[in-house]
Amino acid sequence: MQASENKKIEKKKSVNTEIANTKNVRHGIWLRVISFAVVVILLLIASGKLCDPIRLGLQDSVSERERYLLHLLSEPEEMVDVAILGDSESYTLVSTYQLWKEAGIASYIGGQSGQWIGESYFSLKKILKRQSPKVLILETNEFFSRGDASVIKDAAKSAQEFARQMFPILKYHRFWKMEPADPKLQTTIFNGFELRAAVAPYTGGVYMHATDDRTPVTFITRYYLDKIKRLRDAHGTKLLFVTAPSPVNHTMQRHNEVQALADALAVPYLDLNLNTEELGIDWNLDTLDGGDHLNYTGCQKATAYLQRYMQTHYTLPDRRDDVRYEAWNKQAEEFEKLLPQP
Amino acid sequence: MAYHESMYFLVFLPVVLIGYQLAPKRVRFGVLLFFSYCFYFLLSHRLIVYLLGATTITYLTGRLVATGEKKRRKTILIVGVWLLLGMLLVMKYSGFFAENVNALFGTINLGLRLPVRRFLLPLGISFYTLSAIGYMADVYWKKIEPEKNIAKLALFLSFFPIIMEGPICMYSDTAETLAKGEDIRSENLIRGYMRIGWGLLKKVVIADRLYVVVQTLFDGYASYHGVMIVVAAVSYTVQLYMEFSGCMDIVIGSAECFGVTLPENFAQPFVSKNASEFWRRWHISLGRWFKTYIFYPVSMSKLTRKWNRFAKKHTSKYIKLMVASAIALFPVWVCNGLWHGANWSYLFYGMYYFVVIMIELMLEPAVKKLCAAWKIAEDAAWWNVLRILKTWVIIFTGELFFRADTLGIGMHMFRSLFHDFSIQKLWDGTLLTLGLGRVEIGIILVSLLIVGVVNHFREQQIDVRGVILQKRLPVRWLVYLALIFVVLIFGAYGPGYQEVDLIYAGF
Repeated sequence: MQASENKKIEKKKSVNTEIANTKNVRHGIWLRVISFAVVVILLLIASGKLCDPIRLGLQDSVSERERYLLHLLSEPEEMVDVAILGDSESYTLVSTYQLWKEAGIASYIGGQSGQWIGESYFSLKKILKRQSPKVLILETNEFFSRGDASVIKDAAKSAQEFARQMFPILKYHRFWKMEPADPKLQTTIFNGFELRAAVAPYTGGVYMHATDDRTPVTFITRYYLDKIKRLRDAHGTKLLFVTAPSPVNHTMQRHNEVQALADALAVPYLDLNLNTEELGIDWNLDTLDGGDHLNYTGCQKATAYLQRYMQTHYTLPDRRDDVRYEAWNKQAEEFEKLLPQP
Repeated sequence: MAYHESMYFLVFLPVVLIGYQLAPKRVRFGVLLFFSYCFYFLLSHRLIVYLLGATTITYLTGRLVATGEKKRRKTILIVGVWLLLGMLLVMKYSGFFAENVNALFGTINLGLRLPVRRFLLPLGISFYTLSAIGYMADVYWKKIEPEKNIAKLALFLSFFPIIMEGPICMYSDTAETLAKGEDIRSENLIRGYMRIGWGLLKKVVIADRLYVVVQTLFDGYASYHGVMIVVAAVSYTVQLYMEFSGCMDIVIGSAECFGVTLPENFAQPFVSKNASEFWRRWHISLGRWFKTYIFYPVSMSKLTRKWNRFAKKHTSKYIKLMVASAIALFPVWVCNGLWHGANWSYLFYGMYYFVVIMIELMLEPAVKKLCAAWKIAEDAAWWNVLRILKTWVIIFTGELFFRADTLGIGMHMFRSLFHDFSIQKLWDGTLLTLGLGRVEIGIILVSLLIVGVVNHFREQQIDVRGVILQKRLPVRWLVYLALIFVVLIFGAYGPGYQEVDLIYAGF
């Protein structure tokens, strides 16, 4: 009797030991998984510092797409009064050179080809670490998904962008093969503005047809716009939505959606597609590629309009005589040589 | 979301793994099916109806073909097979067929013209159609029992790791383990992700980097000749191998995480001593499918038996064997060529291997006699090296035609091979004009060396991952970290690189 009870107790003990061992093994596995993940993350962060193109002076070698933004991020602190973000419509909309030459407005384009609203948010976050722009112009074409993009694709893009921001090695991993770019390249750009003088007329006629319909943006766009607004509030930057004249991209449905977003966020909105006549846009002369982007002459007209608007609505100092901007004046002189003579 | 994209192995796969593990054991196959269909829908949207249609046809045929008298069963099998094949033929080949018939009508001045229609090809149709036909035939031959649960059959056909590029599985290979719903084990996870990392190294570090060279040479084929054509053929062969086998590593590794063992698709093909052996080591699952469902049935067909009876009386053993082999191999290689796509160069590719393998078969007795006469031991290292080099020439030539946009371009490139064969171009800087710098070529060569060493161990039946898992923790972690960071830093992805689609997903 006693022996069988002892056996039972022994068996129970051994089962308990087995359970405890299994638990220990499981805890051990989780501990190892977490430790390994920590090591990977630390190494990713460290490698991100290693490949930082600004630290390496390789802003022009990373990729054409990143160039303007990286130069904006490399500017000395507290230089930029107007920052411009958006996709390719942003850097064909505003001539930073003209704003500087005409009014001494210290503006800088950080737009990227195909820039997406999430990228704009992360770019702005970085810009605000070194600069305190009084105005942030956000070109609105990037609010809308392209082609077959969907919420899922936007979400995937969002996750990827987040990962790239967290771990720059994912973006700049080819730093080991980058060579310094020709220094002359910088003389062809002024604060993110490049001369694009080609002409390919738009012949499609009127494209802004009256309607109450809207082209909805995804909730991810709304999410990032909200985050941009919060950043703006925290830094006292004035936000301005601008839509560049673009028959290829813009519609009244899009206008209605952006207007609703602007109203909801209390952001002023300038849709230049509604007043192309006031701007003096001639679609036979002022577009680079059949109505997708403005060319140099179109950009001059849009910039003149924006300059008037900004001078009326914001207090933007004339920085031309400020000694801190000596390099900008020199760069403007170099850039001027490239411009077509009137 | 292709297999080599981070969204797949860092987001999708972990989500499926968690969902699978959290589900009760008996519904785990349902979880896999749900995620497999989500995966397919994300990539193909409404074209998923073809997969659903193929699954229904396969299921019904399987159920009906299992019982009844032989003639009825055979009729059902033929109907089932032709319904699936019909779908594939119409979607994949109708345009090619119409174009060529129209060209033929044109040459004989016939006013008729067939409409040329191009269909959007459902993802993986060439793979799941073969798996489905194999399943129906196996049920007909009573090798397996028909699946009663349509969801389990649906999972066999649509399992997300295999739907894009195979391997073409037999029902008996995978169905049972897929439906079993085993717990996820840490060892399987580690082994699986190690294999995924290895596949990424092959695909992203080597294949996608070589893509630039291949694109330059094949797009500008008219400007290149001599040794540069050799570079084109070798680069493409290496790119294709690294890409396809790398993708298979990711696929097999993904399945391994769930405890599912998929058949291997590659077994060190570049140590093959002849073309037949090469095809037993390259795209193994396709070769096995053709062998099981075309080669054997044709070998046992009335025509072959008739020939054998006739040949026994009237010809020599040698002629009998050669003709019987030709009768069985010809349809295999026509199908192999056309399976890759509706294009004359693919058909030529299939015929090329048919001819090469037939020549090898015909010469085999003579070579044996020669070896005996010259006292060459069959396992002599130098003799084997020569045979391997000969096989390389066969492989590279075949891939040259395979990659060329048209058969005409393939012929042009092959002829250019014999013009101005100046070997100095390999070191006079010409290679550096193909889109890769010295460092990048160095990365490719070092990576190839590593792959070569690992393949050598695999050839010796050494389980490299098993060996790593036996090591102490710091060594294991060092290996994992090295794999992760080599792919991250030297991978040809992201800004500055062109995104390269999976080649075999296009077939």
